[in-house]
Amino acid sequence: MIEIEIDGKPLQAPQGAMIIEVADANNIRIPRFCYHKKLSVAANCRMCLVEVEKMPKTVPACATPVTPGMKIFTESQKARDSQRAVMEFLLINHPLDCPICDQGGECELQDNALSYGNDNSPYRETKRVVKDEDIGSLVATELTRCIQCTRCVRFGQEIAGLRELGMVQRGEHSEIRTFMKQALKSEVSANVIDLCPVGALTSKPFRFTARAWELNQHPGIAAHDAFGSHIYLHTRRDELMRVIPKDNENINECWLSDRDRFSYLGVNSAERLLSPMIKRNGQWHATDWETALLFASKSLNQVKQKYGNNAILGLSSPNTTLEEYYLFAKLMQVLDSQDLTYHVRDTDLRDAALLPEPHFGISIADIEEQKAIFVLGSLLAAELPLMSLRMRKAILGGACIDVINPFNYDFNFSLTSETVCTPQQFAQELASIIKVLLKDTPNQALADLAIVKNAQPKAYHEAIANRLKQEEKSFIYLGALAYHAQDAALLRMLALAIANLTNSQFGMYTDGANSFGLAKIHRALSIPVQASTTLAANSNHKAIMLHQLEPSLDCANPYQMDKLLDQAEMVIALTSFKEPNLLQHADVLFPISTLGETSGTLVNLENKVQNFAGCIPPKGEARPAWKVFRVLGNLLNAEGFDENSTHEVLNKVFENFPDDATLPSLAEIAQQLADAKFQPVDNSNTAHDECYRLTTWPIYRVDNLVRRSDALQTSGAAKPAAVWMNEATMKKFQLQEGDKVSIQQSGNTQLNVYLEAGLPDQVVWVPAGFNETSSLGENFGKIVINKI
Amino acid sequence: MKLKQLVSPETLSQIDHWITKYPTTQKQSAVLPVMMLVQDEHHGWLTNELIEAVADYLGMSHIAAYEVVSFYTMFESQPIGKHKISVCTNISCQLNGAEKIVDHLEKRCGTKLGETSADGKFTLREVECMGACIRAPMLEYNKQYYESLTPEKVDELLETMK
Repeated sequence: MIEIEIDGKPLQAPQGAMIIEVADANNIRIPRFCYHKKLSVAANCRMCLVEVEKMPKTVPACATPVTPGMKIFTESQKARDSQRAVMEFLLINHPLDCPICDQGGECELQDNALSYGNDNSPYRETKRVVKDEDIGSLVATELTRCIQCTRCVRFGQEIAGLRELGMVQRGEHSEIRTFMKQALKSEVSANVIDLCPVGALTSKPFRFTARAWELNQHPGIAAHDAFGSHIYLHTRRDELMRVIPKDNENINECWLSDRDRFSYLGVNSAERLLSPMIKRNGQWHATDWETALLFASKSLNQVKQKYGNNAILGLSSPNTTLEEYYLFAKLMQVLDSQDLTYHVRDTDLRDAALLPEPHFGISIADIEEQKAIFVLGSLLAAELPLMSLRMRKAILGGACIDVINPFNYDFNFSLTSETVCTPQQFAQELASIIKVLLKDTPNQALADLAIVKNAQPKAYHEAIANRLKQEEKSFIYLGALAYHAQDAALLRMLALAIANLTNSQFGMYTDGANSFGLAKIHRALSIPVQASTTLAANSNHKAIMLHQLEPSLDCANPYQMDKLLDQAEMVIALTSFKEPNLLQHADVLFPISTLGETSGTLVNLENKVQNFAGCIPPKGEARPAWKVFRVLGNLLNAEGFDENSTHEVLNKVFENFPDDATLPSLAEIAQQLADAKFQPVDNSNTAHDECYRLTTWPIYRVDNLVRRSDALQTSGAAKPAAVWMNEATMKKFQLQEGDKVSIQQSGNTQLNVYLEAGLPDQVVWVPAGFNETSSLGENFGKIVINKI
Repeated sequence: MKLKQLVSPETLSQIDHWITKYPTTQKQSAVLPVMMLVQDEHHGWLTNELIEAVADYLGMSHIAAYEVVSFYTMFESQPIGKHKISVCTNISCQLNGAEKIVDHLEKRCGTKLGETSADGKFTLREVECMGACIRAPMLEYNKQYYESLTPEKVDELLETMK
């Protein structure tokens, strides 16, 4: 630390820090446009000029490091004159029409012009005009307002790892542009809206709908992935107007994924269910809450009386809050059923006894400290967009990253090694790494496993094993493709064995925003952990309760779900939206609250418990789901169900909230793996006229709210419903890009063919979450393709 | 398309030679000479396809390559005439009668500064100082400087362009 002085105030500062950093840390205001704490120093706006003793000219505070004894003046006449001159120059080409600019009222240029500018200028000439460009459905451009700070360009280059915007031409012709007018494709592209200090880049959906000073700000938690990013919900009167990030260095820093930022648009979807509905003789009738609740409770009671235990199935979205799921679980107990699950997309839970809850061994902030990372089966930026940014930081800090994936996925950083294989081979790949590790750390139990015996390690297995072992900070991540794979449990056990042998940390992707919390409810209430596909296959449930779930879009096997719903006597759906498939199968629909309309608690992948409050009243007759479960409990004359707020429910949840589960030891893992049930589910070869299907839920198809955000659906990162395959597969089935094919897997559908060169032969990628693919079967498995 | 499919093997070997002059992690440092080689081989201007191919070859983003092309006046991203003439109008040339040269060129070539003649023969470009002030006014044609210009000298030069 060194001694310096700013505006006469003696301060301690770290050696090498820039003046502006020291000033910010001590709440001394220096105006700026191009400087941003998370971006590299550009020093091109010159707004932060300050006077330094013994320096002949004023210097930019963002690019001048402090030196011992330095005396800095931010408000001297000389500094003020410089700032005023810069301001005048910036305003030469900037329109002075704040009343018609969307940024007005929250504009850094406006604020600085007021504090540091002149009230008029001798400049009388015409201002320059820049043509706008359509860069997609999320970010609106008004490039005449651009002051060339290049924050958006540096964000793409340094943070997002996908440089889409650039400064083209030069001098007074400089403009922000994309190459060939492309829509922004990054999953975090909309952060440039926050970064832009002026009204050049603004939120397209929010634009011109409200003024900053009309909005109320409410803190919240984003509910689409396991990060649990901190957000602010902005409301005007009773309407949700927009979502912006809330700074939290430990989770989302100052960023937010586009999914978390624009999902709010679904709240006002035309498909919102506004009143309870009952189906009579195949016709839907709107009704009041009392009638609907009585009808539902009576029907549930009848099914329970008639069919006994486990006749009722409960399926919930993994985004559900602790409170909702707790009451749902309690209600299921009252109905004598243990068949409740939120595992709607993952199908393999053979390891539930050893690994009763998901695991993520490091904190989010620690991801960037890792030195060796091994990723299995992940489309990282589409699963956890902000984790992709953290991993990128680790790579830029010198970390090695090895990836085994079913195709060449474009990570936003460069990889140390990349291996392509089918999901069926994942287990064998992990076993090969184990075999390498066993050379130095013998373990008979592991060596005796058939899968390890059969393994034939290659050079890259050795390299991965060595890196994980040598680096002190090493991390193994299983992505969504591993989590949803047919052998997910086997993969987890093998990966845990590798983590154990290499002293690495282990972390996994989970679906939705609350898988970590919901697993704890299962443990607290001793409810067996079962996948929806297992539950659906093993018994004929006569009544089914769905919570914020659209089975044809959200489940691993929509075909099976369709059959199950068909044979059920009673389907009760708590949902925010009228989805066609729900309307077809359900008998009662309860309208429930969605984002911003209810309070609750989510647990993120760090096992961090995070509460949020409601900030707008639910639309129409909709009510928070926890109230619906509570009243159903009351109507069934069950004990308990007397909570008056989510807070009271949460207290009940916490009465018996389990500590984090400990990871199994190596011996336990080896013993478990030796069990006959831990064989690969499907190791058979693909017949010559078949393909192996692999599935992901594309980033904007993951839940009912996101699916109804029109801006996200038309954005550059959105994927169409289609089938992707490599050239050899296309040739084999005599197809060309753009052809329509019929796909058979339990059901039938027709999809367009796209080229994805990195896929293995006869492996096709068919995304879920679309109506077009909702007639198909399992998310992983054999399918038949026919040219039409 | 890959750069390999778009340029001749000779050009590609020259490109590779330029790349060896920089550290392997900073291949994009070679973007200026590489773009120049590619432009020379493709009628003096760079299509979007060529810019993309060069960017991919040097491991840089497409927009970053386009920034370079749009920044420097020696790169063209639109079709140009058969002969590209770059006239300096900066201070020394201006004081020594560059305007007269420009007027003459515009008349003779049948096009305005910054534009291409209707017959597609000439493109006139205004450039900043090219470091030949000692013999102002000057123009550049086909990588050669023509200095101490008079309208007559310009006519002589134009005669050679068929």
